[in-house]
Amino acid sequence: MNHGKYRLIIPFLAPALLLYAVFVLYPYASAVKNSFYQWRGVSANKTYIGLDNYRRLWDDDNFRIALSHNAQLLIVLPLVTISLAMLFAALFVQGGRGVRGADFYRVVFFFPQVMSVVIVGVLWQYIYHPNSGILNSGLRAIGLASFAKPWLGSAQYALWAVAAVVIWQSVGFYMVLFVAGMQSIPWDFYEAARLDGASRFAQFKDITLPLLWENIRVAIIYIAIAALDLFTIVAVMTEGKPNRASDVVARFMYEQAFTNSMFGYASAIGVVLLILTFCLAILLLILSRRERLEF
Amino acid sequence: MARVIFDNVTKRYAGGVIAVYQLNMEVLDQEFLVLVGPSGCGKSTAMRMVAGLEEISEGRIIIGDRVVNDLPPKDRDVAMVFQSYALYPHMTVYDNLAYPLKLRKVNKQERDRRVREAARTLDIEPLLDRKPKALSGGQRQRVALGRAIVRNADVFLMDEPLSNLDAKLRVQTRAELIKLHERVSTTTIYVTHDQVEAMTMGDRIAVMSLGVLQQLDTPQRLYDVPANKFVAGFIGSPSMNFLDVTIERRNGKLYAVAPGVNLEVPDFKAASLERFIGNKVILGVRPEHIIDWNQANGIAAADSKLPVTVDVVELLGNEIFVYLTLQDGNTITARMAPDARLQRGLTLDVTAAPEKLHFFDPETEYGVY
Repeated sequence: MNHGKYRLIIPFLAPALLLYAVFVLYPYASAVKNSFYQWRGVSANKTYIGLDNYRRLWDDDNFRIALSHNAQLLIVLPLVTISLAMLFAALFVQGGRGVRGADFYRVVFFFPQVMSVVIVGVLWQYIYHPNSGILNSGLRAIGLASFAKPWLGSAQYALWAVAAVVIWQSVGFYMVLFVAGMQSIPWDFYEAARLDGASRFAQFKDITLPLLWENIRVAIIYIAIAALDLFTIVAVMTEGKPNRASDVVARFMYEQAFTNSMFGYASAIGVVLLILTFCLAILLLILSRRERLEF
Repeated sequence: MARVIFDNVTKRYAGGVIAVYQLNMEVLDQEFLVLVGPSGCGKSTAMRMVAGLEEISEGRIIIGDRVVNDLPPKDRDVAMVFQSYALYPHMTVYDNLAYPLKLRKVNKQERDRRVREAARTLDIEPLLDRKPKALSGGQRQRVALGRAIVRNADVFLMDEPLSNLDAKLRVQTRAELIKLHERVSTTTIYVTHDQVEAMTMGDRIAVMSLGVLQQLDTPQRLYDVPANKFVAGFIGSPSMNFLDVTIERRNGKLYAVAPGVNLEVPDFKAASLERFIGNKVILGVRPEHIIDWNQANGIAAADSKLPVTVDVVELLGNEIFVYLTLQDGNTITARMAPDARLQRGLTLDVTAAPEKLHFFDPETEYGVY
């Protein structure tokens, strides 16, 4: 019986594995290999330089700057995204009976997630435009002209303006995830807690949060991994400017490859990013592990 | 310890559905009152209004001497055992029991003492470190009870707590609950759809149907003197048989008559049934009161009998249920001793002692007494 099972499974699995090997695993291996070479990317001429790319990376200030931005966003993005998503989800689920027009809100909140990141980036460039953008125009209109900053052009605000856009796009997704999680919590628990004497806040802290933990854990890991990427949004909105104030490692890597024609160096950055992301994911998985709940 | 009073309580949902209608009753201090009725009769809603989990549309509910209409659940001093137990899955049994005390800021030592005392009462001390998923149904039920008693609340509310248990465990736990009530003596409102649970556990029983209280009485009185046809048919299993009969006077006595039916009416009911002479009335007789005429030993008059044909016989070991077909094609159920030699197709005469007959007004369905 068992042998028959594998004879059926393998032909189905094989094409997918093959594609995966060719388009995912091979490029990884290739990148690792290329990181030990100096290569302009145009011809097949590669010069073996051992760990030189990595040594260079270690001393590269621009790399450090980009990495520090990723690190800051690594803290801020999960925190803000999950908090907001939780808040909206709690309002949405509102006593378990749902809100009127629930489907409408679900669509509206989720919609940014459906849009292409490039479109989102371009859209917000217009919104953030210092003169004709709707944000600054709106602020001036209500008398808060002092708050109308040159968002994408300022070294102080650029990174956070981009971060805000990332949060805007992803909150809806996590809100929907949390709503689904909250709605699967049996209503009985809240009634029992109310009789036991729990306030709304205690109910949230003692019932919703622990029972939602698996969903929150998934959210943290996804957002953290995304925080180490952010290539598209940064490349579209600011290209890392002004003066690398909004740069991230992924975009820096792109610059090294396609602007400076240093493919070996870029590969080394890629490998470092791979290792960092991998370690982060494992760390987060281990730290956030809890016993599996049944209810 | 407190009494609970329902003062003309009505529950109306948006859309006009009336779940409970003008409920008036008092649960006495330390009483074990059972709210019983079929699904949708309003018993759970009535109990949830006491808990504060449902808004009261009209009327007042009084616990002790406080009107609790506007009090949130946590201020009413009621503890509830849910049908699904609602044990917090992420907390140990100890934490589940301690949670209500923690919320009320009881200090750690006192908390520990009360948790362990409750655990001892319910014999769940060895389970304190386990999580609910590692407990059997019966154990979870006891933890749910523990969470209620640890609070020393004025009133216990139990929402069909035995429904999720298998038959044997249910019987066992029923006895345990009764013993617990004797020990702890807290006023308890117990909701069930099972009339056997109601009869065996309640000091008094409130029978409800379609949101209306039908009768509030002791188990024995509900059985002997049902207020209406609904209560008569609901209490007792298998349920009472109902026949449409006409009252006739013959030889100075009253008889309940129908094609193939001729049963003598007891003297003490003659006066109340006078007004039905020549008219239809509903006759009720419980399966356990139907006896083989040959074994009647003069309980009934010689001409008080029903000729029947045996349809189905169900053997239960200690007794048999017999489904009998009357002359006009209607079926009645009888409960008889296991040695009655009956099989399908057999014809015989059955009767019932006159004082065991019940009568109900065909229009109002009230009992005629």
